[in-house]
Order: sequence, then C-alpha cells, then structure tokens
Amino acid sequence: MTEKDRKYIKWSIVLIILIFILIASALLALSSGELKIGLKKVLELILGNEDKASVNSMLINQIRLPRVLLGIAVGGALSLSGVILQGIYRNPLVEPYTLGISGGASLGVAFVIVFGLQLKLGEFILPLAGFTGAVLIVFIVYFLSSRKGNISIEKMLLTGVMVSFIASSAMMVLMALSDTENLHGIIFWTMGSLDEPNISLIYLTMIVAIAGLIFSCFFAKDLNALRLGREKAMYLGIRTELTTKTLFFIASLLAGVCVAVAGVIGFVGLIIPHILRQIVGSDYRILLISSFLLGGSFLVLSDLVARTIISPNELPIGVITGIIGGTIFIIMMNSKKKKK
Amino acid sequence: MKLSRIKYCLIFLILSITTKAETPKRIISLAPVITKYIYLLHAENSLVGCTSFCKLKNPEDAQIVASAIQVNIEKSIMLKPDLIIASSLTNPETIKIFNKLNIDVLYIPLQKSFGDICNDLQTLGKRLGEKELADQIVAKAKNDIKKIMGKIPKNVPPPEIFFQIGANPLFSVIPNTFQEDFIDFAGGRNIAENLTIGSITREKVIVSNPDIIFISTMGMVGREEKKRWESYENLKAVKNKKIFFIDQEKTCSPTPHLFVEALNEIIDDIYYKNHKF
Repeated sequence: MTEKDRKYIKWSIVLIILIFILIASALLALSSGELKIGLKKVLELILGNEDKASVNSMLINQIRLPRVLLGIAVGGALSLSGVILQGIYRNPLVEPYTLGISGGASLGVAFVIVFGLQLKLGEFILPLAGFTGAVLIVFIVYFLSSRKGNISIEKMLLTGVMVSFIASSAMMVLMALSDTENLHGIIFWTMGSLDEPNISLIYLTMIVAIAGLIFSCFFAKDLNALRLGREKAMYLGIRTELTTKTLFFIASLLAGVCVAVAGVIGFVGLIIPHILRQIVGSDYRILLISSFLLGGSFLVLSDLVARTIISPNELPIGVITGIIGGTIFIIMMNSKKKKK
Repeated sequence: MKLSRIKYCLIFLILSITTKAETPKRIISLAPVITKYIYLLHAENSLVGCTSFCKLKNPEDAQIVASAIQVNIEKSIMLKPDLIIASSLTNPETIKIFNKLNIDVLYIPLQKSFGDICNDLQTLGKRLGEKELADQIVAKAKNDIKKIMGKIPKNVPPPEIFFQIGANPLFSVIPNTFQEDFIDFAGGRNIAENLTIGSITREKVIVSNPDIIFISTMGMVGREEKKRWESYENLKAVKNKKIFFIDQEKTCSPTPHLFVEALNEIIDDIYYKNHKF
C-alpha cells in the first residue's frame, strides 16, 4: 500500500466519521427540547405517518427541523468561508468576521432597527439589510486594497480590520442614539439566533452553502498551491489573481448570507478549520468538505445547548459558540504542547 | 381661642411658604414615563429638559438634554435645574456627577407592579407640590380597576395566558413586573409564571398551549408574529381565535390611567371576544 493509498483511506474514514457525527447531532437536536421525543417517533413525524397538527409534529416539523437545517447550512458555510479565507491569506487567524463582514451586517441591521423600518416594511428587511451591509463593507475593503486591478493581500487584511472597527463604532453611535426598546433588539441580533420563521430563507441559505461547497472544491488544488505563496503558485501555473478574487467572492457571499439570516455567530469559521487541520492536515481537498461537515455539526449542537441549558429560557447561540469553541480550542492547543 | 386660631394660621402660613419654596421650578426628566407623569401632575411649566424620546405636548415645553441612555451633562447644567428625575436607565455615574454638583436628584427605580406605578406618581406628586392631585389620580385608578375586575365571570378556571413583549428573541412577561399584574388582575395564569428571565423558547409556548396569546404591538413585526402563531393550527389560542394585540404604549410605560385602559381591554379580550369562557 502506497503512502497515497493510506492517505485516501484515512480521508475516507474521517469523512465517514464526520457524516456520522452530523447525522447523530441532527437526530439528538431533533429529539431533545421542551418535550423529549424518541428517535423512532421523530422519524415517523418527519416522514409523515403522523397527524400533522399534533403538538409533537408542530415541534419537530415547524420548530426543530428548520433550526437543524439552518444550523447545518450556517455552520457549514461559516467554516467553509473561514477555511477559504485562511487559505487565501495564508493566515490561520483570519475568519469571515475579521474582514468586517459582521461589522457591516450589524451596522445595516442596527440602522433598520433604529429607524423602525422593520416595523413599517416587515421583518424581511432585517436579513436584507444585514446582507447589504456585509456586501458593502466587503466591497469597500476590496477596492481600498486593490491597485490597478491587483489586490494586496496584506493591505486587505489590515483594511478589513480597520473597516470592521469603524463599522462597529458606527453601530455604537446608532445604539447611543436609539430608544431602549430598540437597543434590546440590536444587542440580541448581534448575538445570533437560528430561530428563522421564513422557510424559504432557510432553503436559500442551504442552497448557497452547498453551492459554495461544490464550487470551492474546484479550487482545492489551487488553494493547496497557494499554501506555498502566491509567487510559487504562479510558477505552478495557477492564475493566482483570478483564483484569489473568485474565492474571496465565494467566502464573502457565504458569510454574508449566514450573518444576514442568523445574525453574528462568531468563532465557528476560526475554530473548526483549526481543529481539522490538526486531524487531517492542511490538504484542502479534504479540509473543505470536512470543515463543512464538522461546522454544521458544531452549530447544531451549539444551538441544542443554547435552547436547552437554561430551558425554558433560551440563550443566544453566539454566546455558546464563543464559550464552547474557545474552550475546546485552548484545550487542544495545550494538549498539542504537551505532546511536543 | 382667638390666639390659638392665629397660631394655627401662622403655622399654616409658614408651612405653606416652606413647601412652596421647596417645590422645584426647573425640572429635568430623564425618562419618557417620568415626563408623562409630569404632564399628568400639570407640572409641565416647571419642565426644562427631557430625553429625545419623551413625548412633549408642545415642543417648546422643554429642551432635549439626553438620548435614551446618554445624558448631556453640560447642557443639563446650563439649564440650571433644581431637580433632576432619573430612572433605572440613567447611568449611575451620571447621577453621581449631579450629586457632586449639589443638584437634587430624585431616583425612580424600575416599576415592578401596579402598586409601584401608583407609588411613583405619589412620590413625584409630593415632591412637585401636587400631592392631592396625585392621590386623586391613584384613588380613581384603583377604584376603576375594582369596577373592571367586576366584569370577570365567576366560577371560570383561570385561562392560561402567553403575553409576548418581544419578537426577536421571543420575550414573555414574567413575574415581578407590572405587566404580570395585567394577567393577575384579569384572573389569568401566566404560562411563564416560573421564569425569572423573559427570553422563552417557542417550544415552551407550544407545549404550554395557552388559551390566549397577547402580543404587545410591534408594528409589522407584531403582525408577522401573529401569523407565525396562527401557523400552529392546533394551539388553543389559534383554534378559538384568541390572539390579540395590545398597544405597546399602554403595556410598556404606563401611567395609572393607561394601566386601567389596558386592563379593561385585556379583560374584554379574554372573556368576551371571539370565544367566551
């Protein structure tokens, strides 16, 4: 058995385990909550052999299933976005929100809430404003750091961090001027939530997430080459400029849609790729898909904790991802040190 | 006899002069509900400053010196107030600064019951030299509540109520708030009676299956929330068409008479609209 075969076998095992974890987390999330529902019953309720109007069916089909689907889509998309950006910037500390995406989205949402636009126009305006804010900020960052069509990666990172600061300060200006009832809405929005009433928005997020995964997989080899540096990648025949721009666009779109639908959920895009790099290595052929799967599982489980830990009260999911993710990260770092 | 009469007159005169002297002439209100109380006590002539969210009957009644949370201290001082009325939203540091500058600050804490609302109005009435008026308003409100509570049908088991005051995240009225008194006075039972924090899961509401859902209006968002509840067809409140809106103005920063109005509406909604208990 060659080295290559061994690698492929390892990857297959990792993929099977990750798919298993994803299914297990989804089933666990579907069966737990205010009412515990057995796994068999859960499957019956989803597959439609039960009365659609019963309380159990309402809980599974209208509350938990949409949340689980959104959790998988958002968790997967955020991790994917993180892993792509870390590849482009060759910096493991970059995550979707470092580039000002969360700042821009929060600013957009705060603007809408402060001026009461959602009261007049309906709640769809919130994700729309979040997405517009995120995209606007990304474009500002992009144009500030490009010169004559070429983008400077280092400049882009610094500009992103600075624009992010400006956006969050602008949001604080809005908050300082707003009514106390609005403050509440803005603060909770920035902490994230998977409670999304609009099922078409959930499907849209899923489509964007899966399309992003498929599309980015075409660039796995280019991302591998970029690990050597832009110049060396160019010598290997990679069109670095085009690749970087396309991947940057995919990553921003993924993060923009996530933040628009679910609010600011930090750390997922940073921690999941890190954990996986330690398990499967830095080859993007496996890193992209495995980040998506583990990211989805992580967010589904975090949401489960958020809605059950102080039930019947609910915690914002961003708080949970931060605490759990950060703790796991520190533990992993320390165990790695000890091994060395 | 004559002498004692003169004595009483003198004492009365001195007392009235001293209370008059203590009645503040330049007031700053740092919360919308306090400004409402000031109008209620006909003390708007003494009002010189308020927040940008206070509803003034005449824009010239007062100058804006604060946002909902941030107070412009310099502007406040320039208005030479002799009384600043602060609330639980006011930054404690700001209150300390006013204290240091020897400006009288009256602190009105968060109102936790209908009783608190009445007490606050009376405290303010006393301070503004309108004690009698405040007492009258409170007495009338209490009397009205008694009358309204008479409309509650006898021998009916307490209806289960979910009172929603926030949509994203879902927020419920909880015990130890004046909104809980709406449910108690109306003879209902709050499905969130065991909660200490208002954020509630949608699952909890569905499992509790309330008889009535009240949504404190949030404009379009409130209407969307109603639609969302109606999509759970098997809920008792949906089947019996018992989902109602309540004006946010009345349920979130009420004065005694707004409380009475809201309670009247709530009792009518619970017992007499669409489905009767």
